[in-house]
Amino acid sequence: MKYLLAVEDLHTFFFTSDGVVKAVNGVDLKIKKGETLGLVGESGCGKTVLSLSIMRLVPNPPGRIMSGRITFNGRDLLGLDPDEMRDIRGNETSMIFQEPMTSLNPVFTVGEQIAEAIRLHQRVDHKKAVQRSVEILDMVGIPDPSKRIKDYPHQMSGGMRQRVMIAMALSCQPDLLIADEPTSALDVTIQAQILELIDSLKNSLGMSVLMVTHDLGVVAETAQKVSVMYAGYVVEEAGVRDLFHGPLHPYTIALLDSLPRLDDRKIAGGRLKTIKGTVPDLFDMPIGCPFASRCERARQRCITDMPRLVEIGPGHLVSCWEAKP
Amino acid sequence: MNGNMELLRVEALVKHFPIRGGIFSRVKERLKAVDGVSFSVPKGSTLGLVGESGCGKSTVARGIIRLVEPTSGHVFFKGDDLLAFDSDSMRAARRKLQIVFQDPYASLNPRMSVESIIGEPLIVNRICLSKDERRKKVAFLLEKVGLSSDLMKRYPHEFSGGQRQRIGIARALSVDPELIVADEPVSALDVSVRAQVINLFLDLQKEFGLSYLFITHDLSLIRYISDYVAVMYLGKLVEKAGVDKIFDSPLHPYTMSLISAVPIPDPDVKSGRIILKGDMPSPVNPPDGCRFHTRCSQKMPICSIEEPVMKEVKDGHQVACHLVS
Repeated sequence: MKYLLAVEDLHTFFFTSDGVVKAVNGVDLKIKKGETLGLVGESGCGKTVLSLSIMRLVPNPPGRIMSGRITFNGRDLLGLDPDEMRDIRGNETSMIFQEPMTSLNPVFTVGEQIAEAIRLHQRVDHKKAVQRSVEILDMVGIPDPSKRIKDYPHQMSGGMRQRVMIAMALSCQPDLLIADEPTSALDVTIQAQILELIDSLKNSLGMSVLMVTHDLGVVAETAQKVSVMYAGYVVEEAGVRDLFHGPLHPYTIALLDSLPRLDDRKIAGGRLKTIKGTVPDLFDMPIGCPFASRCERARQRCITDMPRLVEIGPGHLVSCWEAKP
Repeated sequence: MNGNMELLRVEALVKHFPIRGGIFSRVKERLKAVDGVSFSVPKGSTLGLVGESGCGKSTVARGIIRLVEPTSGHVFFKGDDLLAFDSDSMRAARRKLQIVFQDPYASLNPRMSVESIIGEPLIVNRICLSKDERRKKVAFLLEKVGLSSDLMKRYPHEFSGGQRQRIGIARALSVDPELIVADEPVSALDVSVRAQVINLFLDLQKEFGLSYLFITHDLSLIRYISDYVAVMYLGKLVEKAGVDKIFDSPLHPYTMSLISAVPIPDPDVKSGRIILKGDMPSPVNPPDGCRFHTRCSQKMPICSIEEPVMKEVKDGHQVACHLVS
C-alpha cells in the first residue's frame, strides 16, 4: 500500500537552558490517501510538535529535528531546502491551528489574507484570486461571502474565523490537511458544524486529514485510524474500532475509562476511574516505559526497559511489555 | 425541584452591562448578559447550569455571590435575600457560599504560599486566629483535597494544573461553606487529571453534605455530576428538569441539538446530529420573541413575535418553548 505521508523514527528535541526536552522521541506515522488519522494525547505529549515537524515549522532555536525521515508524496521533506519546502507548505500540505483569533492577521481583511495564500502558490492575478476567495468562503459555508471578504477578523465570531482558517488552508486544494485541535476553542454546536465541514470537504476533495486532538469523542467520529501519544512516544496505533472496543495499552484503556460519557450514565454515587499521578517531567524522562510510574500493571522490566511499538494484531500496534492480543 | 429544602433560590435575576461610548461616555446600549433567570438548588444536591460561551452562565455565578452587582432580581440563600444585604452581612454570608474558578493559573496569587492562600479566609473570617491552629486547619484541608500537608510552604508555580485546582477547592472549603459555585472547574485540565478532580468534588459533597451549582459547557460532565440541570441560552433559561429527564427526553429544540452535538467516544454510535445554523446572536440585540428562533429548525410564526414563558410540563420538567403547550 502506498502512503501519502510516512513519518519514520522522527526525533524532535528542544534545547533550553533547563535541559533538553525530547518532545518527539522516535515516532512512526503513516497516512493513506483519503484517510483521516486521529492523533490523540494530552497536553505536552508532543502531538503539536509532531505536526509542526511535518510542516517543518518547528521554531529553531530552540527546537530541532534531530533525525528520522518524513516522506510526503514520494519526496523526503527533511531533505528539501527552505524554498522547496515553502512551495509544498500551503500548497500540498496545510495546517489549521487551535486558536482562530491569533492565527489570522488582525490588520488585513480576511479576503486579502486568503487571496495572498492563493497568489503565493498559483499563477493568477489579483482579481482572479479575490474571486477564488469568494468561492472558497462560500464552500466553507460563510453566508454572503462577497460581502464578508471585506471583513476584518475581529468582526467575525470564533466559528466564522475557524471557517476562514479552513478556507485559507484549502485554497490550494492540499493533499494533506493537518488540523491541530481545530475545534477545542469552540462551543459544541459550532464544533459539530466545523467537524462536519472538514469531513464533507475531505470527501469531496479526496484529501487526507491528520486530526490532532485531546478529545476522544472527536477522534471516534472523524478518524479511520488512531495513534495515541504519551510523553513523546506513540504508545498505540490501531483502526478506530479496534482502538475504542479493544484498547491494549494501559494508558489508552485508562484514558477511555476516565471519561464521563453522555451515552452511559454511571450509577449515582459511582466514581470515575482515574489515572494516578501526572505525566513524567519532560526534562527528566524515565529510562523505561514513560507510563510505568502511573501504570497498574507495571513490573520491574517496565521501569528499566523501554518497550518497542510492535504489531500484535492486524494493524494494531502497541508498545507495552504486558499487552496481550 | 420543590420537594426538598431549598438552599438557594434565584428569582428573575437580571444583569445588564452598560456599553458606553461617545465623548460624554453616555450609555449607548446594554449588553443583556442575564435576562431573567430563576432556579433553585435543593440542599445537598447538584444543579448543573449548562450553556455555550457567552450565554451568561458565568455572570449568573458571579451575580449570586455578588462579585458583579445584579441589575435586579432576588437571590435567596437559606431564606434571606442576598441582594438586600449590606457589605458586612454579605461578607458574612460568603462564608457559607464559596466559588471555585475555571482557571487554576489565574485564580491563585503567585506571591503567596499555599499556606497563606488557604489560611487567608481563616483570618478574614476570624475562624482560626492563632498561627498553630491555622496551620493545623490548612494541613487538614490539604489532606482532604488529596495533597500532602508538606506542600504548605510551596508556591502556586510549583504545582500542576490539577494540583492548583485542588488548592482552589481547599481554599473554598476552608470556611465550611454549604454551597459551592463551581464555574467550569475542570475545563482547563487534561482528561486523566479531570477525572481525579471530578471524583474529589463528589467525595467532598458526600463527606461535608455540600450543595453545588456546577457551571460548565461539558454535557457529559453535567450528566455525570448533576441531580438537576438548567439549560441556558442567550441570557435566559430554556429548560430545567432532573438530569435523566433532560438527557432522555429533552423537550426544547436547543437542548436536543446541544445533546446531539456532543461527540461520543465510540465509533459505532452514530449520533442523529442536529446541526444548528449560524452563531448565537449578540446579547446586545437579542432577537424578538423566542431568542432561539433564528437558529431553530422547528420555528413557527409565533416564535418570532411572542416570547415563550417557562411552563411545567410534568414532574418538575419545565420548558420555555411554543412547541410544548
